[in-house]
Amino acid sequence: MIGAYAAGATASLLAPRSARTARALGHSGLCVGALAGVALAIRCTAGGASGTTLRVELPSLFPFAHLSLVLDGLGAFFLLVVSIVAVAAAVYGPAYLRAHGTGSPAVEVLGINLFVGSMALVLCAGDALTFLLAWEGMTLASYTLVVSEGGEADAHAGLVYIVMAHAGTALLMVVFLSLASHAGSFDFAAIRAAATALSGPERSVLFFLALAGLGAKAGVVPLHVWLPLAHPAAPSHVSALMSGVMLKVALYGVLRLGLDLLAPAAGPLPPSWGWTVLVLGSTSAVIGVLYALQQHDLKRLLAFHSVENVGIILMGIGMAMLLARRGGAADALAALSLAAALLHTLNHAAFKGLLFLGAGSVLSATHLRNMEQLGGLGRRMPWTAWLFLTGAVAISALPPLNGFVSEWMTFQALVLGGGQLRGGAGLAAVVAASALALTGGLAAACFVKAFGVTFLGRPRSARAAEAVEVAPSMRAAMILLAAVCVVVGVVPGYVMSLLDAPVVRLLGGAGPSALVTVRGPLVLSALGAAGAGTALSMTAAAALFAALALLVWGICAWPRAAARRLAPTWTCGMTPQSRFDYTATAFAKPLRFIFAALYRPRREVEKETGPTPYVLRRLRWEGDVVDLAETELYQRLQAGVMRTARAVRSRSTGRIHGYIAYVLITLLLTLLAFGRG
Amino acid sequence: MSPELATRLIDALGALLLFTMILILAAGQLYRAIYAVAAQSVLIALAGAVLGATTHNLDLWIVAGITLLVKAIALPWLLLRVIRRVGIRREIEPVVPITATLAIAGGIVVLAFHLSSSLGAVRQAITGNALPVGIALTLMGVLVMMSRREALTQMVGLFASENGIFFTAMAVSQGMPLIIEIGVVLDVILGALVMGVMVLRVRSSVDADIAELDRLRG
Amino acid sequence: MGRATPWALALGQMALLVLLGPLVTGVIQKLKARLQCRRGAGILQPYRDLTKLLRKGTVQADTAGSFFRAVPVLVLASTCAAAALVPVLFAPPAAGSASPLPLGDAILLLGWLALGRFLTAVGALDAGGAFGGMGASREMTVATLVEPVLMLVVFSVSVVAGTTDLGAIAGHLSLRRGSFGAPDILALFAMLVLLLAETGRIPVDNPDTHLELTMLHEGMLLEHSGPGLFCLVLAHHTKQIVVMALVQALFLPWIPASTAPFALALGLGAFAARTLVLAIFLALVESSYAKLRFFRLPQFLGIGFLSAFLAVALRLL
Repeated sequence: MIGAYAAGATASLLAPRSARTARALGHSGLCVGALAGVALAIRCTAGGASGTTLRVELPSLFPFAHLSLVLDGLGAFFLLVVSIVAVAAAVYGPAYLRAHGTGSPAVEVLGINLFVGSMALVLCAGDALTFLLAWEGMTLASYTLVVSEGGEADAHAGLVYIVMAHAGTALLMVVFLSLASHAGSFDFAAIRAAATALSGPERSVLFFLALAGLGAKAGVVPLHVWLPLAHPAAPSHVSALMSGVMLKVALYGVLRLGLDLLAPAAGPLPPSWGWTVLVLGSTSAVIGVLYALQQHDLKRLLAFHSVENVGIILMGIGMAMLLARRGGAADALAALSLAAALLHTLNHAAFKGLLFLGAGSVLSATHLRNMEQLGGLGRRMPWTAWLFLTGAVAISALPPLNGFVSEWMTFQALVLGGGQLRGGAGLAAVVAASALALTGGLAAACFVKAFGVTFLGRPRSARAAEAVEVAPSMRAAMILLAAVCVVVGVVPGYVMSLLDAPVVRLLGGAGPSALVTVRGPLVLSALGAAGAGTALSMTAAAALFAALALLVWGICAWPRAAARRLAPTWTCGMTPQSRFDYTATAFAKPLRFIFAALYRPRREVEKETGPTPYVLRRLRWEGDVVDLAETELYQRLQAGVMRTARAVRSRSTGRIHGYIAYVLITLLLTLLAFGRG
Repeated sequence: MSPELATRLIDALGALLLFTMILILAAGQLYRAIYAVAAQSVLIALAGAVLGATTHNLDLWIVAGITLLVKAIALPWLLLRVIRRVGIRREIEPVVPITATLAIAGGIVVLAFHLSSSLGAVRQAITGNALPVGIALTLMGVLVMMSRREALTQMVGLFASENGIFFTAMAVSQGMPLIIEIGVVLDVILGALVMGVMVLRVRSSVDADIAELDRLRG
Repeated sequence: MGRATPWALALGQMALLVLLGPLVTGVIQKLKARLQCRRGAGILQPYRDLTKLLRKGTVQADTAGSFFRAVPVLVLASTCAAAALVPVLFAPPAAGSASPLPLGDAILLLGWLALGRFLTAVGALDAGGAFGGMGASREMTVATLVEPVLMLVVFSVSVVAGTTDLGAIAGHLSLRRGSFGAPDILALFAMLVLLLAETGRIPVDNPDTHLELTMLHEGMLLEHSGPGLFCLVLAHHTKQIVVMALVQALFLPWIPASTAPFALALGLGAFAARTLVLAIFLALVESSYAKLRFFRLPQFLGIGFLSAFLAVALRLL
């Protein structure tokens, strides 16, 4: 598999003259690699309840450590998620870059192969060193892709991205180095064994450091500011990979460290971990979707939704951490909660991938990202429109698609788990469930806006009016992901066996296929206390829905005397124009008003009136919202850094002797501090 | 009346009291808040009567009667009369936005439950959840006084707060001695009269509100 | 009980709700008319309107595409699917005896209703024009605020019942009837606030108006006609009765646990009586309150949210 990625990467270097060949070769390398990844992951998760573990020793590159690749159930599940989206991106890529690519094909293809390859390596890493190296490779490869399209804004986005990512990596390095110094080895197995000897506070400090480092990569509020800048800047199929998959690799890190490497040998996890993750998750979910609502750039809107979905996954993980290893019904609910989080990982990869590819199709057909200039694309690009609608229904957690299934499981875990925990933790869990409902409602509002303004009504610009449907290969990639959404939505029971290996690996006990699909693969059930519980058959519900829709359609399509006729939309007697259509800004206005405390909206209205104040000659409106984290946190931080830098500058004389003196002083101090020990 | 039934009734009354408190907090118009606080006083009187019937304590009956007469009928009537006489704007002007006040109120209730769970020893079996509810009502009354501009709304907050204290006292010691209760009620009446007269007088001489009293400082 | 019986019961209850939905609207309109000293139309008027719509042809906006035609069908289907999930005549005494292929729970019910709303809003935007957009924008805003509170109310009941299955909740509550505790009171108040919002009635929405400044739901239906409008109007009637049935299942669950014909008839009578009570409540509120300004709604729904929150707090703390 890795070989195929490498082959794809080198192929692109060997054939640089023809952009088309390079792209085709590179993406087929990617496709082969991803398909190999799917096969490997399925082999690994299918091997019984705990999954099979593969181990490959790499030739020793460093004298102090040997590198190894270990793929266990947890890694394999995430590898599956990565590979599915990578297949779609590989199918989608060549045609998209032909229509909309502006960068050098060699860089693009090399970047995407390295990017996916290093993500796979992170998931397979068997020791801390491999993990960190691959992690860094992932960051650098995605950085080149972010800046590959050129442009001032993209360069800024890339800069913010790389600074945040490196800050996160630095934290991770601290965590892994201190763990490795305890264990005397970089190997995960040795670290796991040594970590049981850690004291409670040490363990918690390391976990929170790791959470901050991984959170910067996962886009957890308030560490999310790079995400809406960087994701839209990359080519769309890379955005799909970054948003749908790369964030998940960070979540893999949270699971690996929180529930595996750092977890205490026995007994429940420290409650503060679960609390923190649950609160961070709820905040990210609500804040992410609230900011998404006010975006009018299609890809930026989708990027903010990734913040939301990472939050939802973290809610599941946090609840699992709170409930894990408490015994009795709580254990089953912890497994349910973790399964919900993992399933949502898969689901988010599928629908977010689908939506980004849809946005990419719009972009390649119109070269526009601003929704206010689009409109009316539904009739010109029906495939893209219906597929985008599928993704929109899925991400809004509406039945009968996959988003609903994983959120249903999260709801069950939060509510039934809240009933189990009682007290403050229980109340927090139930309120988090309510926050999840708020998130779902806001996401639905946001996607009515995104879909309606982009695809419905009348076109608002010449480019939108002349759009044509995209190439078949691009449609095929979207259909692949939409099929995942529908299948997971309608027959989720069959997917549960994929979740067995990671859940059993992390929590022990019975896997979700034994707990959730206890009544056969067609019924999902969540067990509460004292024999009560909820059961749901998505298959039956979807079948009922389909039957009812057919019945109603039959009634409506029954031939009747009066024929269908067309007439202009009613606009109070005026001739309808595209300017009468509701805009995205107008659509989101009520919510902007209601959540004004968060948005701090700014508006400027300029009126130019004629002879009387009732005749308007010209009206200019301008408004935007701010990201509170950006203004309140980062700008202050930046100001602080600038102040310190200025203070330092006054100490830097510019003479070489002065600098050497500083070096000498530092050396002496270091020797004094550490030399005695 | 059996103690179990009394416990359930008092719990239910506690829920209704909390609901009237929410209505007071969310009221956009002055007279709605006054109706709500009157309803709350009726519920308090009912709670006193229930407890009185269970413990055969005549004092509680008397206090319940006084509460009904004074706080549920006389004082709301007085406040409504002042509104009509002065012709104040009927809209309540919040200092803190109403939705924010509601959020703070949610926090207060959680805090009250947290506090009363650490006071477990003084909780009585018969009055169930009355202690946290009473504490929450008292604090939320203060919240009303803190977050609204008009003098009359502050009066409403004071009544609500006093209701909360009464309910807390019931929870802890089956009601305070009669003489203290009467003293408190007299205090409230006096406060209401002073406030009412002040509003009438101030309105008639200068067009000012109590939020503007800070101009008086030297 | 055979494998097919729970399904047959669910489908029968669904058909009953869909058929009775317009009647409830008719009764509310009649009650409102009497309260306003008017004669009012007969209680069967909604049925007449619906059959008239079904016979008519369609006038479609010339900019609208395939979505516009698909939306009404899907909206009615999803609302009917929601109607199959609430117990009306019969509630299983325990979760174990439920159907081998359970159709869903309260979360799925709210999910189907949300799907209906989502699609209605999409259909409104497809026609273009400002009315549809305005209606869709406002409706989605209100829905955003209502949904978490509604979920919280459901959860306040399900944390003690240990399930979100409505049949099981109603059965569980019917068994320990009479123990209507303090949290239930608060949650019921929250639910009544939400009932007004969810059924699109004053003070949240005005079902009788077509004035662009006041309408929420009607604005979205403006461009639909003929059978399409039939679907959307019937879906709205159905949604109203479904939400009423949801209130009953959560808080007034005196629903028989047997499928004997006599018990079912008793259940029907009880359902009719409770629905009438809720209809009177709606008519009274509609006649005695004014519609709230749109941006006052968060405050109004805040009452519901705080009540529901306190209900959960009283349960868990």
